[in-house]
Amino acid sequence: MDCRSARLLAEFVRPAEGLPEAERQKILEQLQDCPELALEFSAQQRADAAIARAMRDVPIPADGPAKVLAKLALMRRKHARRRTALIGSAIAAVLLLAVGIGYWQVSRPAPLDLDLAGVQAAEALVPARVDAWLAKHGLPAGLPTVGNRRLDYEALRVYGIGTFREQPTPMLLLSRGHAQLQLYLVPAGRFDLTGLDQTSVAVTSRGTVEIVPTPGNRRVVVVAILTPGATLEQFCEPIPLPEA
Amino acid sequence: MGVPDRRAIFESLVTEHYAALYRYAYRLSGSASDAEDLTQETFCKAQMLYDQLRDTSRVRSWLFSILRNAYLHHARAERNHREVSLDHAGDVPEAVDLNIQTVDSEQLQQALAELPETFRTPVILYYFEDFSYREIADQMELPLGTVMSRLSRAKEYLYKRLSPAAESAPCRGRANNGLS
Repeated sequence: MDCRSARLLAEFVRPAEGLPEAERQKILEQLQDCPELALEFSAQQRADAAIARAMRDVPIPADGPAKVLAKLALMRRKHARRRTALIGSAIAAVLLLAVGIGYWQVSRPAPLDLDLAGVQAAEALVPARVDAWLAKHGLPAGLPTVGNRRLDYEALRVYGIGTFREQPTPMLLLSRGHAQLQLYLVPAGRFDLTGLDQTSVAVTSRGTVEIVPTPGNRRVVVVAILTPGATLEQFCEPIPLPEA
Repeated sequence: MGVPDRRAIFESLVTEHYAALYRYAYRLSGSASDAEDLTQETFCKAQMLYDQLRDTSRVRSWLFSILRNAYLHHARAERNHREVSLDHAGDVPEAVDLNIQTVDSEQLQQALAELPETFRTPVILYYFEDFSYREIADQMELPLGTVMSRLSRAKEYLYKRLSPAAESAPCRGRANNGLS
């Protein structure tokens, strides 16, 4: 091996380079083949050892590690407090969201609890069939009247048996645009309707509840549930224009 | 056996690595107070980023990298010390006086302070004798050849600067006003 190659290999004899000891010894032996380089290498190793000693000759502050550990402990406590606050905020946000959703669920108009076979086909909504169905349930023919105006068959979407005070009860559903009217035709004898007089009006989460006066018919009480903002008059037959 | 908690891990890391990191910080910065701050900052950052350390067997190298980055961050803010330029130093070693038996720690620090950081860091890591060329290259994110070349030039500079001859006749790096 020439001196130039040996010089290049000499770089790798440091223990830190992790060469196997056998290979390291081999390189050291090859360095001896070049006497000039061997001398230089030996001097360089001595110089490097002296510099390395000086490099590590740094007084270490005795309290340094303790200061670092104290600082790290402080950081961990701060981090734990921040994490607790973050978790608390997250829980509060979730609770607030749950309360908000709950309030929205309660305050929105409840879906109609109809026990119907489905929305009637158009032919089932013709007045004659509706009247026949009403008669079948012992109810007077014709849709109820509001004042002197009859509810409009055109607005009728569904009729069937709904649930009123957990009892199956004939029910009609009318709609115009977004407004909806749910009518329960409650047989007076089957329910204790004390407290529900002919003028009762209540606003509930489901909408406005009204008792539709039924003069001359004491057997049936008509309970109307209107979506917020809707009025009974909206669902009546149009007022005929006076003849010219 | 349970996983050791963060406190136990860092007690062990501080016990094991504080001295080496402090020495490295001191040799990089040249100031005891800066070295103390840098070492503390290193452990604080390590504690924050510990979850990102994938290979715990490389923790020592990782801590040294954090310290160097912290040092560079501060050094950029206060770039006011004079450095010698090694740009014109050749890769082929010149004949230098290698008759160095002992080196004064302060004299070494002065010589290191004159080197640009890109030369100072590898030469410090080299003389700590625990880092291979490959590890130094990885830490500095440089090719191995670049690190070896820089080391060769930095060592040559130190030999000249620290040789007994330099006491009476200043080395070329200073004599030719190579300070940039």
